[in-house]
Amino acid sequence: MPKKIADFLLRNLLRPLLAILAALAIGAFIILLSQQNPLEAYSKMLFGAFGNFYRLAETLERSIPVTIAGLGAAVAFTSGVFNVGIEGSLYLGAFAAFLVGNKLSLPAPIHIPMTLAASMLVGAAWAFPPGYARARYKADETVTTILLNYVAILFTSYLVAIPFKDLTAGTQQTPPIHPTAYLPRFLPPSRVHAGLFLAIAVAIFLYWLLHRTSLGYDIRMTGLNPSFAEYAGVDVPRTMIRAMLISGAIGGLAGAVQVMGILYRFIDGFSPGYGFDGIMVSLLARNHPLGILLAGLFYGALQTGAAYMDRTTAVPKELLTSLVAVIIFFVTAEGLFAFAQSSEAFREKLRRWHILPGKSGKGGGERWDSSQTS
Amino acid sequence: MGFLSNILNLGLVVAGIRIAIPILLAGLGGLFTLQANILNIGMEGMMLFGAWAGVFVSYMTGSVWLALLAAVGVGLLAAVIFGLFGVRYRCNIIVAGMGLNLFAGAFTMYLLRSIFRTRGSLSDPRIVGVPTLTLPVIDKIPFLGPLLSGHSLLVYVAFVLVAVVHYFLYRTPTGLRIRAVGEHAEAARSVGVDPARVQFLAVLISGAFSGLAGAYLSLAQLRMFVENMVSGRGFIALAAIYFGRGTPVGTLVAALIFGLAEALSMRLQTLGFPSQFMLMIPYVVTVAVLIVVSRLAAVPRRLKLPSFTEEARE
Amino acid sequence: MAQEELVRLEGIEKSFGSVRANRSVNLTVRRGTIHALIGENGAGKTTLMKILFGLERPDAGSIYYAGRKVEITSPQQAMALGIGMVHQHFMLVPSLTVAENVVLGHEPQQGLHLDRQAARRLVQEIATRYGLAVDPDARVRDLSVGLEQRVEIIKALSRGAELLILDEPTAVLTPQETEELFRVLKSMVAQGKTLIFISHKLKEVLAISDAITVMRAGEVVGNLKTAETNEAELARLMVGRPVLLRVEKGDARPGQPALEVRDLWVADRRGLPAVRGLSFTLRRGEILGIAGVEGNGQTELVEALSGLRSIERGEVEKDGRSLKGLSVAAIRRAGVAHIPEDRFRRGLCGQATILENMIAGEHYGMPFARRGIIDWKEAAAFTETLVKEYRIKIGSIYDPASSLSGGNAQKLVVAREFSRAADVLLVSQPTRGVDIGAIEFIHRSLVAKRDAGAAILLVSADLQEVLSLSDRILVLYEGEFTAELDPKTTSEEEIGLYMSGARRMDLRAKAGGISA
Repeated sequence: MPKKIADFLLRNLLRPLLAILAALAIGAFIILLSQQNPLEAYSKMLFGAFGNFYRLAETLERSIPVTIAGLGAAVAFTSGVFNVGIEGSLYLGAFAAFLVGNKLSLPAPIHIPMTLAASMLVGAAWAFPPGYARARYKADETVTTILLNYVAILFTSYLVAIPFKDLTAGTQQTPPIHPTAYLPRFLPPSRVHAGLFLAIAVAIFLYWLLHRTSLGYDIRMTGLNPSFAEYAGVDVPRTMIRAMLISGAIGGLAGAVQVMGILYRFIDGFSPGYGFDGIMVSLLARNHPLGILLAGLFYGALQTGAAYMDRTTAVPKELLTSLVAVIIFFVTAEGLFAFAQSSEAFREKLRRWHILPGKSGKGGGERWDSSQTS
Repeated sequence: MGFLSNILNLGLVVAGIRIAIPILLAGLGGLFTLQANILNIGMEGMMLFGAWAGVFVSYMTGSVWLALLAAVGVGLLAAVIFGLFGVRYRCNIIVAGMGLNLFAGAFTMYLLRSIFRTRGSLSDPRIVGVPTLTLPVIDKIPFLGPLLSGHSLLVYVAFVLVAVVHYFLYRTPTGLRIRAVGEHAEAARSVGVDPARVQFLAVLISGAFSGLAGAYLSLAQLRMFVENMVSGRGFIALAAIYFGRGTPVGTLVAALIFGLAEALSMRLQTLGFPSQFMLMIPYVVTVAVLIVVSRLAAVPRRLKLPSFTEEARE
Repeated sequence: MAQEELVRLEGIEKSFGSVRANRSVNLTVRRGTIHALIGENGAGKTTLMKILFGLERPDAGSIYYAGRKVEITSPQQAMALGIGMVHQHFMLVPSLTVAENVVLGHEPQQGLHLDRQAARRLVQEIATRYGLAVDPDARVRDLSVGLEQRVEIIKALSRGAELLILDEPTAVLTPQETEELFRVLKSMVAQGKTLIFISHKLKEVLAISDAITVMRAGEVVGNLKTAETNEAELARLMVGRPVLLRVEKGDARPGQPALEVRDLWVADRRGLPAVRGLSFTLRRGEILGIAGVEGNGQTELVEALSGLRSIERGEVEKDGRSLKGLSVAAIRRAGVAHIPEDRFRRGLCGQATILENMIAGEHYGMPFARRGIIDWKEAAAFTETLVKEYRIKIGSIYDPASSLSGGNAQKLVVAREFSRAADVLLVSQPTRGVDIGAIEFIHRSLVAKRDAGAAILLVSADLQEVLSLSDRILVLYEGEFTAELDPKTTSEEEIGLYMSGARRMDLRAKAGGISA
């Protein structure tokens, strides 16, 4: 068991950690090039993310939609379907949340769940066609979902520009939702809202679903080895479709919490790419639901920290966003940091560096292709 | 009639062509990666880098030629990143593309802010745009004149490149290798053609084209850099490739259709029509085409059973 | 005729993990001859030829080509020496033309241009010279398999091949196409080319070759002149290895029919009929062995019975209930267990834990799942028990299945499939690549299952295994049964003849009796 835990930690933490450190080092170099002080910039960033109650609250607030979107992406990825359409589900889910939040008037204990449910339903429905086409006809889901994102964004943009436009507002936005559909804010004066618990609950639920249920088993095996899954009696296409539906539903939820917790209305183009950020978060956590909580928090911290750094130093925040891309490259690249894959490979590396005693030998008989999709 | 002719006139066609050019340029480059069997999500980022480099060098040197060269060069550089992680280190190719796009979006903004201390956009009289070309004789012909003459130089370059790409893909040994690697990498490997190298080459070519496409946006269409100014054109280019069934001429046709649709939607918008539906056209049509094509390919091949009489069954 | 030698392989050794694919193999091929290399699947023929073609590196031994000692490290080098290979799976790009395929990698150029005219000429030149008529401008995807093979041969010749290795070239051809190929091969030899012909079809080998080398279990067991041998001798050499294992088993007491198969037609991946109208009855308490050279429809038969592949025509019934069109899960629920031939791809998920692998297929219902929720405690206890019972050597049940050796991996599959409440067992290549201890164990388990009343369909390329385990043998050749034999009275030679299609019983009356 200790070996298993060590392996788990190595595989899931060491690699991202190394990637983050490497990216920060690159960032420091660039900051030096622009004749600024990297240590100052990074310490401001750290303070900006966690420095006091308000900073921490902002980090949490920023983490919520990204984390939920990441969880949505993870389900599809785990089944081997590369759903890039979270952003689309997010927009439509957000709009559905506005519709139910605005058109219905109910007591909060009913209104909130109904609004959430509507957003999930719409998000799932949006993910269905590409999922179905992928599972049944092998139509490339990446291309279809990327393109459909634009359709979803344009469609909501139309809705908010014409039929549901708030005529009193200057920007393209809808009238507000009823307060009964607000997600309660629990850390006043900050805007941190109950969506945080929702994110945690979804993560735990997802972990439970993937690892404790038959459907989760189906999803994981379909992603790992579809040929084996088929042999074990799993209906592979149907499982892919189900994973896409869950993925879309969670994506819709990510949009809804933003509307119900922060905006209280639908605003045209309200997402700065939460869906895409969610994909990054999921990749960073190698699709592990609980890891996504951590990665989502990291992402949120990076955003708020970078914004703070931006205001207090001469280093623009966009540098940190570019570093996220670098981190993703490093985390997902095969061959880079290969030694951080298992404790055995890690010890092997240490031996080769003469940190551990013993002769370096074979790396373990690999008959299987251990490369994991994303 | 008056209303229709207001919308459907020569100006619309000209506008459509101009909108189509960046899509066409990037699409032509993307053809190489498509043929080499690489899902090139990264064109978006390559274009953005190209757009930035074009404006930057034009601003610095005042030479549009150096600027175009720089755009192509930086597009290539972005392609090296994409190829390095996508092909060489075998990140998931989709992840590599999305990573590049994220990187391009953020890093160009970073450069803009740390070099020019400005955010959002960079426009300056010092930025020299790509010159327009007046065709000597044709210019005078009514109808054809405004249609064919007076475009940016890059418009003509793009149309010439359609032929060049066609020639390169179908008439040169390298083109043959790219197509062979994309369709059956093992077969190529068995005759000594290294698939990874050929794929990397395809990525580089697409980077150069995307860089040029980006420069068109920033130096021909606008003469300024705006943050995230590519805004999905890389994906539309991808859509155009698929819609054009992977051929240069098909991509040209698709780009023109998408360009016209966008030009039309802009016209309609000024008349108060919701433009969003027109803007959706490229995406919706491409998705539909993709699904239908996959569906046709997925229809299981039925076993041709010998006829019953052939089988000696009573 | 004593032709000079062109190739000499000396003491070639090659191991893959614990499997020794080639053991001190010597082979001499003379210039201007057709040299046949025969043996069962897994005898090491293809490995040996891959070494000669530079696709694999030998662990030991040397290669002499045209009198010189050579190191061949890549196919390019082999081609430069004048060695060409026509693979069993063609290496052609479907959408390119014949000429383009031929010149790929060594394209004739005219400035920047691909010189298509020169490419066309090259194809035509070779085509007329050896009688390989093919249209250089045709797209490969429009060609028949026979023509595709021609393109492969032209491809090799266009690169200046003097020695051509043909890996099972007739496996994909119709009899007419085979004749045509033989004509071409003879004309090539007449013009001084040398051919190595890998096959297990004895008739063809005898018809075309000048010399024959027989391999078995990685070793050369015979070098013969074609003129001085016959089918029976070759068959004996090919399969007749010393008896390593005798399975202790009593007489079978066949009971009620468990599985009825009538006029079963199944398509292979390309949509061609791989199983052609098979009919048989599998009874409880018997092991029915399917003997045959691999690729004669075994895979498709088993996959169709287990629901992994669709049935084109015919009927499969278990205890009177049709299984046709049911999902894999439904067939499993109906009491059919399946040990697949490819345990690493199908039978196990390498990245999943041993525990997760053990409950595969049983993860929907009792006792491991209740209302869709998996009871991992129950599953772990069960897995621990099975691991002990089947003596599977593992670190922990939470280790990935990829940590297991071949034998233990197979035991895991066997343990899983045998432990479920199934009375029909589809068992495919149960002991391939498995160590002796595990083989014995698996064999004993199979017999025990039979004695407990299970109906077992055993498919194996290992004749010895089929002979020693089965109570009844059906020989499969090109998707049809060529014989039904009693293992007590038959011999390996006799089975070999039916396996290679050299002989054929008239089973129609019998099969008709069953399916009526």
